Amino acid sequence: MLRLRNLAQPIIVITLLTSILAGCFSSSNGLTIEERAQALDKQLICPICPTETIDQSQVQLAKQMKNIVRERLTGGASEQEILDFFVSRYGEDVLAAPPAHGFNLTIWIVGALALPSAILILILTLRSMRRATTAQSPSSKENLDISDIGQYLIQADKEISEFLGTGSKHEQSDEV
Amino acid sequence: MAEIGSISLYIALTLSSYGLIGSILGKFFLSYQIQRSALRTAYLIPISLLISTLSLVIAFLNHDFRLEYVADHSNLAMNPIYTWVAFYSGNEGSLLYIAMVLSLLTAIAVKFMPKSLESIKPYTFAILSGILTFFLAVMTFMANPFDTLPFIPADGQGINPLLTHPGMFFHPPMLMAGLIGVSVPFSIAMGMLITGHISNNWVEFGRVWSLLIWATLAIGLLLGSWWAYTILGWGGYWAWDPIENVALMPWLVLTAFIHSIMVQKRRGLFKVWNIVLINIAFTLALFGMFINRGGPVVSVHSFASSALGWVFLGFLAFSLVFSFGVFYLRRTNLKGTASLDSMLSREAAFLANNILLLAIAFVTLWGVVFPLVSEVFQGTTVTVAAPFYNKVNGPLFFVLIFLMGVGPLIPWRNSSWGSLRKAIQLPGLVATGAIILLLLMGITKPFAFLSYGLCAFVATGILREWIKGTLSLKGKGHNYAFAFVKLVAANRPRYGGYIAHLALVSLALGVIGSSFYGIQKDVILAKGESVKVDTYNIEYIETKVLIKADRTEFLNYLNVTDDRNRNIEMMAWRAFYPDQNMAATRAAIKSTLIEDLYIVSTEALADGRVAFRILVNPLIWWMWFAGPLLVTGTLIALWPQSTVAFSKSDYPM
Repeated sequence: MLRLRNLAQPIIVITLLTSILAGCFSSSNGLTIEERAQALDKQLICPICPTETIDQSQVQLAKQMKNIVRERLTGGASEQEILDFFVSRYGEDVLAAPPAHGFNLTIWIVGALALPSAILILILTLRSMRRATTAQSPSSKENLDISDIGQYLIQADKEISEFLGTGSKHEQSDEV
Repeated sequence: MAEIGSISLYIALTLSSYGLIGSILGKFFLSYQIQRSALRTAYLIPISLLISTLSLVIAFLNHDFRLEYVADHSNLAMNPIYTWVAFYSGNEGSLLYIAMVLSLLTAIAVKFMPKSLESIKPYTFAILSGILTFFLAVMTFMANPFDTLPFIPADGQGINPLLTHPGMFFHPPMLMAGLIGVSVPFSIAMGMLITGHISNNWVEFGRVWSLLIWATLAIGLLLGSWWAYTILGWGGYWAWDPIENVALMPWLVLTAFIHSIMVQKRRGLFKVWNIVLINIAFTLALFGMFINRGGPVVSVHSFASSALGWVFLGFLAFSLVFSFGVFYLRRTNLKGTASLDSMLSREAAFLANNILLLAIAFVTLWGVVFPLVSEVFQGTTVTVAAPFYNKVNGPLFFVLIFLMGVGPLIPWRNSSWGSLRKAIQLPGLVATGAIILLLLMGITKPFAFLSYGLCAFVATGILREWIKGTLSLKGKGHNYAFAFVKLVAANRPRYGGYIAHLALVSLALGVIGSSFYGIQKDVILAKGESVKVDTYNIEYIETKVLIKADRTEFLNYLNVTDDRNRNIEMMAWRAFYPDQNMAATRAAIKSTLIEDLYIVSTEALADGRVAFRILVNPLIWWMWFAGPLLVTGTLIALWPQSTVAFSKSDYPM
């Protein structure tokens, strides 16, 4: 059992890494024309029904656009060429997400910065709170172990019954 | 009858204005009489709004097409049970519904406000009255549901056929109630801020209200997804449409709030933070209602196109200035006693959860407003839809599930890396096992198997705590069932929260499964033709045509054979409504715990063939299961607990 415990962490780390690598290499190739077309359908907005992609929309125009996507893919066109074709025809808002260049880059940059800045804010906040605390008073540090829930319950029961002086064994605090 | 409704709307507006002005004057002149009489309006307004509501309902039932609203949203052929839906299907009716709900919630809040909050009651009531007065004024002067037409049409326009669905009976009213309901915890917090006596008294009352509203919004959103899934005919349930986003954002912020309020309840921290959070939630809820004002479903393109939009925007700006103004004036009273014992503690984990949820809400808001930003700065419109949100919010949600797994394992106040490592060992092992199993099963898309691994991590963490707790209580002579119930009952907020976490895991199962491993096929079939999708063989048998008063129905029968050679007959429903020149569909869905077979008829071709969209969506059932689970969790978390004297414990459980 002890040995298993020691092995657990390396196993977790190694499995995660290999699986990520394996996953990255296994996907992305071998898609059929129809699968590629469906992915494109979800990136194109139907020009006459705002906020619906041609995958969602059931109007005639969306059907025609879907046919064009399939014809061109079969003809050997790349995804980007097909998207460019529709942009030249209907303007940039035919794309379901703004392309990542020019002013539109800002929407992606803000999106990409969300997680790093959240982490930064968290660390800064925690550090300032921590500093405020140490400046205030050195607080007691009970280091209670979460895994000893049973021990804790027994201890809590004991303390509670002492407090109540009733000796009732199974009363519990609402804040347990 | 309609006149009574109209008059009683004016009465409600008068009463509500008096409630607002009376509360302020009463406080200003220190007159208890004025305050008390103003407070009484809280119970009178719901009555007068109830009369308005009833008279509008009666107008619908009597087909009183003299009323423009009734003529626009119903017709003679409409089944009377859809009156409830038609009632809030337009701008005017939905405003009346919102005002009705707000007045009821105000009355309940005033009635059940605990004694310890007596001093802030006039302020809270004044703010609620202010919000209600705004809604009533907008309704009576700009969007009155009792406006009459100069002539009486022979028949009405009819209800939008997409709305004649059971999901519509609860989805819009729950969302609207949830959005306006945020006013209550907001007003409580603001009331306390105005008095300047900052205490923890509001925490429990605010927590109960925000939990109720949070659950209402969650169920409203889930029902909306279910409605979209079964009726819109493209097989999805969430499209990151602006309308969906504006309802999701307040929910995200409320999720942050119901966590951080627990920190204040337990440890007295985050006093300022909680007020900021509820302010943001309220602002986003107002923003949501503002975006919604064009009608039940509008896109960003109708932004502020009507005068009503501008009025809402003005109110939004005013409320922002007001709430953050009060906040600024009271900043000195808010000097909190921040005492964070350790960077590695439940408090810190909750803070991480809060900041992450806010980040998701912010990114979503950024996506919603970006088309406007683009129009201002580069003069062109752009569309921001699912591909943006999936790319940006996907990883954020991934981290959120991770925090959901780790957070509950960290004790309050202080922890060490060693004990945390010990606590995550078992969930980590189970998650790794799950990932290996998934890879062996051929689930090789990284985001999918890693997310499922995280789901296993969260679920194991929760289940282990339950088992451990139950076993240790069982050791004292209870049987398993009793020990488990006792464990849950001992700390309802905690174990109710766990059930809500499991509900989100269940939701994640469905979302991940269907987004990464859904199979989609669009086919055109002639009678007797069949198609193979995944393991199903689907044969189109025939179409029965039924002609109804307002529509022609097409009942497309299909015979489905699965891999075990079992036959199932399925029927994909489609109807054409000539009055609205609209088609509506109802998907045929065979749902199992593993996957949904989903067939919708998208078009009837002239030559007798029928176009179908066929989907195999894995694990969708678990998405809907999340709903009842979430309600259960919330109810447990809310269930009043007899308060015991020794409620001040700082133990890790």
